[in-house]
Amino acid sequence: MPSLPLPPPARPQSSGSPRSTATTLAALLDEVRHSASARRHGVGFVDAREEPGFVSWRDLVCDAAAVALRLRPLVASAAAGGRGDDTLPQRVAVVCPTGADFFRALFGCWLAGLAPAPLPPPQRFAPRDAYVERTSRALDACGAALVLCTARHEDLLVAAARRSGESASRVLRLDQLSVPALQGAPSPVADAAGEGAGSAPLSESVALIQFSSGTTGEAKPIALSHRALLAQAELLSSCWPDGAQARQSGVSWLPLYHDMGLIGCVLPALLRCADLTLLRPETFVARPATWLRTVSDRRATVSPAPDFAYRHCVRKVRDAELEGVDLSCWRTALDGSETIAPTTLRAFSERFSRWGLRPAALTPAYGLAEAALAVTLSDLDAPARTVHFDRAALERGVVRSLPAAQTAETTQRQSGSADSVELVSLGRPLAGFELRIVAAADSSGRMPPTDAPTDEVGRVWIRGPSLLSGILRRRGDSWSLDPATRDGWLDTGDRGLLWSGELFLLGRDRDLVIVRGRSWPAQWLEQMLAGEEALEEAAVAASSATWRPGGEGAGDDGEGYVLLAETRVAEEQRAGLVRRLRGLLLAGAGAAPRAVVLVRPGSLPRTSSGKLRRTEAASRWREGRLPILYEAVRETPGRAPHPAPDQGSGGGHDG
Amino acid sequence: MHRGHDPGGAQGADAAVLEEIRDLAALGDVLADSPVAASELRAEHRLVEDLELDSIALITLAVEIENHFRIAFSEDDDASLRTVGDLARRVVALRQGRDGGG
Repeated sequence: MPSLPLPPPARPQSSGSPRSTATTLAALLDEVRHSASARRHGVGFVDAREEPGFVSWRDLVCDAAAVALRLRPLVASAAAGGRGDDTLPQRVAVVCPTGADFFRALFGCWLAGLAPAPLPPPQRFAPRDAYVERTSRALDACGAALVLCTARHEDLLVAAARRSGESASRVLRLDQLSVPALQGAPSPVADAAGEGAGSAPLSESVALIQFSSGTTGEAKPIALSHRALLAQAELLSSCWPDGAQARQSGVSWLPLYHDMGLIGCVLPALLRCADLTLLRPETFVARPATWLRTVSDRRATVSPAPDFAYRHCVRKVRDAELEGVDLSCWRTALDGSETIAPTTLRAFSERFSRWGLRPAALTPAYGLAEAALAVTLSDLDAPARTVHFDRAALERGVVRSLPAAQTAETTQRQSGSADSVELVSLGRPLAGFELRIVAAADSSGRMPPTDAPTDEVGRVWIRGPSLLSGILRRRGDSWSLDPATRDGWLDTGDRGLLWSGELFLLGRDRDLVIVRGRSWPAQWLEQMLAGEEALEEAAVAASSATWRPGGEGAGDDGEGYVLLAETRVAEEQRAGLVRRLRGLLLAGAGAAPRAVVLVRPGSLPRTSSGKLRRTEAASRWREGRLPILYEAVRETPGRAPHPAPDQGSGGGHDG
Repeated sequence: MHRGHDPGGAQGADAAVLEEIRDLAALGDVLADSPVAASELRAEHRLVEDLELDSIALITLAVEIENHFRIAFSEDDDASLRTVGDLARRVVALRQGRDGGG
């Protein structure tokens, strides 16, 4: 099966030898502990009042070694449950807010030969019942033998562990594990890392359970090996400036239970013994200017974030908050992990160029937890690139670019036009990665899949050095890994195209709406409604997600789509709003939705990071589990009519 | 953990804190998507049900209040504070605990 020939990477990405020869994270931690720079460099923590704290990498590793010594006997006794797989160590859930304890827990697991599974701590003022329920499901999904947490969340996690089927999950507080008495013990790291053959972690054994974001379903426990994590850390290390005089300084506010925060920021910094300054995610959300000020204060060279963060800054940061800020040090502002809007790139670059932001700083990338993060990266030394494609052709799956002169003038607010679609280049594959665009008809399990013609849109398949070992799954009493790749290839489920060797994405394949041979990513249809002021948020879902086709080629074809819209408009204005929405879609796409459903703001399901879960929203509606304000359904194959949908606009919902 | 204190004085303190919370909410755009304007904010308003604060607005409000009053809500506070009045009363209690040198 020949893979699509791609031009070589745009630049040498791993010039010379790797930064470390360690084959496990425990070995890397041991190297770090003995490195001279690990005493001077480490992790800084900036609290909401921007008062800094600092712990050196060496101290973090020493603290972690003490944790590891305490963990091993506890886990050994909990290991009664069967172990179906030699490469699958016991799992330990790590639930710590951004702070030194997170590192003590994470590194402690690695030194003890365990597989940490970082999980989110509860959000401020959010309902605790839902948190306990979600966390108990995650403990079940990864079969955690232990839960490590801080004192603040102990009660909640005890409740979650009790509710989970994992009756063996013991909840331990970090402050009970890190015993200072061990400080004087002889080389605890070497003891922990150089454990006898039985429990020595091999490079192929599972080093991390990373939960996927869960945009298109329940979050999946993705198992990543030491080899995959170290390979990814080396690749991401290419984003950091090199050379003897180069400053090594990163800043991140990303949650540490997130792949971009953990693998994307912590691992390359650890590999380089670089300074990494961390803010709590809530500090960024409340005051995004704190992020920019910290980048400036620390003269940081690297700080990644997803697209919404750059939009959040444009919207919320006030000029007065940036007095004295100089962003010229910021070499790489990776933008990844969700759909990147050309308008965001332009708005952020233009707004913050006054504070020295370099035009080349924003660096779009493509990554996913299944690849331990990054797969493609755009040119570090050039501004982000966008390309205009022929909209009508693209709706038929054909790639045809339009010369820049022929495209409508683009502004900060607008992207594309009636005839064109502007997409952001996500760059070329990182060293060792290969990409294929697989024909749509071959994505459904038939083997071997065939490549789409070079000028067609298809499903993105990848192969490379940091792919997952599998998806963690329980079978009876034993745990194993479901392989997620075929012949080394992973079907990402993303829809995309290659143009001059660079990747452009069109959203999740599952979110694709098809009507009479034309197709639209759900986001395009949602964007057509941007001018409607009464609309708070819109989710478009393909009918295939709502109406199950009776069988291939028979009966309903699953074509078409439904619109689920959040709004605050008064009851008497709802019918009018539905008419306007339908009109906008008809004008923009030439195909009206099968159903328009109005719901209260906040009713549509979202992931923990706030992304819409379109398919889940549609199935909740179909099953009558979405509290609706108003609906206008034109065709209802396979779905019973919804009686008396209007629940009024009063405030007394969910009792 | 409440020490005995003059109820009239406490109410006065609550009202003063409520006024400051109004200013913080306005400053942090917490109520940008809310049906209630900052100037109309009352003690009995429920954060989620009445003010319709989403997770971002809740986080912002929590961080702004903690910064401004130099206090930290506990996990129990996070789980139990439901109304604007709850917030104001808790801020007063936490400040007394801190300033009282307890």
